[in-house]
Amino acid sequence: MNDRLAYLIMIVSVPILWVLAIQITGFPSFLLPPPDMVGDVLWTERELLASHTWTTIVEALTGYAVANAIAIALSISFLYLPWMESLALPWTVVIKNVPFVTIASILIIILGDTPLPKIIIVVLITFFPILANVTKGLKSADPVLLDRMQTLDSSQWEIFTKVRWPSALPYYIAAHEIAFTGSIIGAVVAEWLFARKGLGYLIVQSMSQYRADRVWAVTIVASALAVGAYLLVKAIEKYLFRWQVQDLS
Amino acid sequence: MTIEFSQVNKRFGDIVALQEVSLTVEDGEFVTLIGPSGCGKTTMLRIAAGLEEPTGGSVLVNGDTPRNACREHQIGVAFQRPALLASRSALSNVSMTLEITGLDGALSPDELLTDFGLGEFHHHYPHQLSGGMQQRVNIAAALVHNPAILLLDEPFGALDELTREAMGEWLGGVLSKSAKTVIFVTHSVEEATILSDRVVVLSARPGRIAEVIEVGLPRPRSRASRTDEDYLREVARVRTSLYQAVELSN
Repeated sequence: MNDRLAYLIMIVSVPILWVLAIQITGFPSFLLPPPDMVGDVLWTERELLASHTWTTIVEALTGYAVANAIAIALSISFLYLPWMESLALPWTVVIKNVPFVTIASILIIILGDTPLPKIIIVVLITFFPILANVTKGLKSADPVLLDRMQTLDSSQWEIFTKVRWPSALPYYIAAHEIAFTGSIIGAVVAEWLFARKGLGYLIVQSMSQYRADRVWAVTIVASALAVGAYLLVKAIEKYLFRWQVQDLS
Repeated sequence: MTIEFSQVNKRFGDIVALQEVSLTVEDGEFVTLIGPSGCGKTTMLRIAAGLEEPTGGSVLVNGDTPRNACREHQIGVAFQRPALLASRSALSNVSMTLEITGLDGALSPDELLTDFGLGEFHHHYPHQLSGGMQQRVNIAAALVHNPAILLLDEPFGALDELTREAMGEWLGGVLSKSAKTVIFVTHSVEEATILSDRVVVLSARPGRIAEVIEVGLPRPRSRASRTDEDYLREVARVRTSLYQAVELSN
């Protein structure tokens, strides 16, 4: 089946299932608001939603950019300085496995309601998949190609740009598939814990006011954002690796 | 360009890969290394390419170290597995050698690929080419900067028998147009005989030279000569020597 058609079917199915759920359970609209009510919130409160969405996007992208910079720099250092990898291993294991909500709480106590704790949370969540994949990708370079480069007396820079990095690229893109979406989820969760701006904050505020319709509206915006991030990565992947599908004839 | 192995020793831990190997490959000569697995033929080739250092003895390429010969871009190598980047087209993979060596215009990648029968495949990616075509691109990439020395490690080892014969004949043709000093590693007695001026038979554990055989066949040689009586006699000579080397190895 055509991918686009499948997406279309899903987008059409969601409101149908939604209405069905309301019919079957009989929940009142303040518990389970119908799609038109949520659609109404999306439209009438669009400026409020947009400004909070923007805050979330800025935090997510800033954190993600920092995570990419650190992870790539570390991966490259692992390649040329193996002792760095041994030294970093326990740190990465801890960063990957410590429950980030607890770290978030600590950061909020120290840093208060600033963008910084949210950005740090995004970095902590997205950093590891990038580090793991790029490290593996850089080491996946074909030894036969490396031998060829050595007999041509290539500089380390040429070996990196012409062989190592192209070999790592598919791994790097695969990391974005996981981590880019993760950056948005991370930012929303961090705001949800403590903030005065952003989609996460809007959820908390709406819940305290029993505004189920707005919670649903935020859910739709945040989901669209995360799915959009994923689809963007897929589109970039398709463009970068267009040669893989090129027809023989 | 000559390649001179003088009493070369190479150990990997407890394993003696090469023991007291001495051999001089003359300028423009085609020398094949053949022997049972573990006889050190690939190690010899890698030492000549500067990819391994001998534990003892020396290897000189025109009186200089292999590393320096690489610096002067005198060496082209091709292995059994083509050293091609999946994300570059055939043409771009060949041009990469020129980008790295900075020897623009040594040979034209375009013309070389066309010469190699890949005229229509310049913009194909490696995964779109057959094994034999990939290997031709690989050898083009090893030749395009016009090195004086070509080191080939079982370049046709992964190909089927008929493609392999065709590729052998093709390589002979390429070298007859532009003579190079060649060290060629193979498992195939027939391939060694039809291509070489001399066949060096090695035995294993430890890797050492068992016999050096001069192939007494006139050039040019083609696939048709594979059915000649003279050719078959030379093949039998090399094979007998190889069997003796295998005996020595145990």
